[in-house]
Amino acid sequence: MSSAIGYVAASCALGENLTEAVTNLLAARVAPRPETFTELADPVVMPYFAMRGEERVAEAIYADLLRMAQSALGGLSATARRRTGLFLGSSSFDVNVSESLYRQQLRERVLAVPMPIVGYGKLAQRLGEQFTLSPHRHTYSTACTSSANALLYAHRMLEAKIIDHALVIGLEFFNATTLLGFHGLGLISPSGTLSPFSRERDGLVLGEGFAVVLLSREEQSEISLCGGAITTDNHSLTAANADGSSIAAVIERAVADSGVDVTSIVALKAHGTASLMNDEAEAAGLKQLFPDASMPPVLTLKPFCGHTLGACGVLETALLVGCLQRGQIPGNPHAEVDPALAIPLLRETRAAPVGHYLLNCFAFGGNNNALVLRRDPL
Amino acid sequence: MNLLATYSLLHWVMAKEPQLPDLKPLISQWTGQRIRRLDRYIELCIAGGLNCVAERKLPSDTGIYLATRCGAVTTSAAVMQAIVANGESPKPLHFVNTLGNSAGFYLTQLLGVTGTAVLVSQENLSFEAALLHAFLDLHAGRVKCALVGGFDEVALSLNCHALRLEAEHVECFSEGSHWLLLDGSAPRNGIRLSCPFYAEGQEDLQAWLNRHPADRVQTSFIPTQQERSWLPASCHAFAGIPIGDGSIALHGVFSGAALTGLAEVIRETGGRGVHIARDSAERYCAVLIDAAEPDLA
Repeated sequence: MSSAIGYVAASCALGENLTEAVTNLLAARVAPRPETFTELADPVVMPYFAMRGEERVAEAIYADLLRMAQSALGGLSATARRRTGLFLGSSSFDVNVSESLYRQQLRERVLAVPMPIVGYGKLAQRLGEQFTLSPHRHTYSTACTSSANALLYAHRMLEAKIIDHALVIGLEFFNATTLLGFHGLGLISPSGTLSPFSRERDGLVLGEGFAVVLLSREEQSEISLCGGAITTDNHSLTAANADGSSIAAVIERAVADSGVDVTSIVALKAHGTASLMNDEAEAAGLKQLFPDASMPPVLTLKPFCGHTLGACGVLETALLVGCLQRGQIPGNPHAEVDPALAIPLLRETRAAPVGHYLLNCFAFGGNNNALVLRRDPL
Repeated sequence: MNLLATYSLLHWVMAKEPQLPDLKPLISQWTGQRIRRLDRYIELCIAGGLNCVAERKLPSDTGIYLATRCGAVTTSAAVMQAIVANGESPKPLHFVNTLGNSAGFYLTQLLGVTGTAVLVSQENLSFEAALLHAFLDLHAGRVKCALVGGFDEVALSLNCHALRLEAEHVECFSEGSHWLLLDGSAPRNGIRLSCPFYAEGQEDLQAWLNRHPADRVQTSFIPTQQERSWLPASCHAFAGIPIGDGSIALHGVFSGAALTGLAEVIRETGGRGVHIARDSAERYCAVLIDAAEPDLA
């Protein structure tokens, strides 16, 4: 069974809404800006794909998210909403709010509690109550695969007829813990460019954003989620096995779960973080499954919105679906392929064929996810 | 689902004299590997998981389904304090250990499993949510074996812990790590667990209970007077909840302690039990635990 994708919305550095974001993506228009941390003993500057608007007011961001969810659910009756599950994935959840509150406590010289807000499931519970959804309100915390896993289990619960609809949310907001954590790991691009699979790749650029996808069973849509898989790579806490074996394994399982084989894939969205080891691992995994010249065109979205970590599963799905709905696959005119990796990166935007699309997503903790979408003729 | 094994750690930490039991012996009895800088959250995960699996050899594609309500609070707080209060950059390993699923990595590596791994959270129903995810994959044949574990820590200092939980006047806090090892093969003699049933409220749960009569009905919470009026007369609260004068704050996956406890009682006594957990919005989740009938749905 496939799950119909009935509604998608997104907000990120590319634009405040999906229409704007897809337009900018297809025009390859957006660039990171410098982010400075002056409060540190040794100030740090790094590139960052921030959402539009100068002020990062949490209330405004959450109000936008609420409106997005409201729009997604707008076509559902009260009865249908009670059969709608909520699936939320993030890497940092509301750490941004926790940091703000902690700073305020320090300023006001009251008892300051670091990490004052805890509980991964709070937001899903709040949204579930607000929209009177089913009791299935699941929150996923598997680092960068969080919302990809939310999509997959939403699909599985639809398949098992536990629910009829699934509101799937991915979110990741600017916070010092995440940015400085990645900086400390030495994974941020010194050049400020995110160039997946390029010989000049020198690391990733983080970004923020949120997106929603509404999945439904027993409904028709141009684009649907067919299946996917999760596997674990025990090689390293922060990097995939460079031999690509675990990445090939998750893709193989994902296509099998979707009832197709790899030859059905017409294009694939790589995880493509532009970090040295992970691009090498992803390229090796892809080459095991698509030998010689059989690899379909590979597209990457992070050069335009940054690596949005736990949000990227849903956000990049929403962006790709937005492009497919316009009949296009987004290219990256700036893409330069490392000959050693030999990945057929898509440089020019081209017409989107009907068929199956593979979406890769990999995370710290060795968590790998691959999803398969299908585009049917209109 | 066939229940192969359970394991549960439940600690009570008194506000006046907070002491956390040492978990290292529980880990070192199963592995000689020395792992750098394990925090409390990771220790709870590894100690629980390794002791549940014990000496069994798991299939490499065993699914790991983890649950937590609050995640790695001690390490997350330390990293936030370093950055915001002290103006320091976080240490790389500390940052990585703030992620909810890092604990799972250490466990899958020690167990040598490479299948599905997911960490799910649903406030007080987090443990049941992980069990539901395992059931979905076992039932569909995606995994043959599933290890389900829920863990939440007491993050010292207790003053801060209490403020985070909005439990400033509480005298006793719990932490724990609760585990089930399941397989999806044909029913056989032993304990079977049903798919967790999510009830929208009282009526929904009552209808489900009527369809699933049981010898024992156990709640993971102290029922209110109103709940007592409609729950079966045989229903009782999990014996692990201390009854006394002092106030208590239960950890997020406490219902996992209740469920594993009931499963062990059913294993010893036979018959059929129902486990009921409740979330803050008074929605319920029920699981049937059966030693008698081999054809549970």
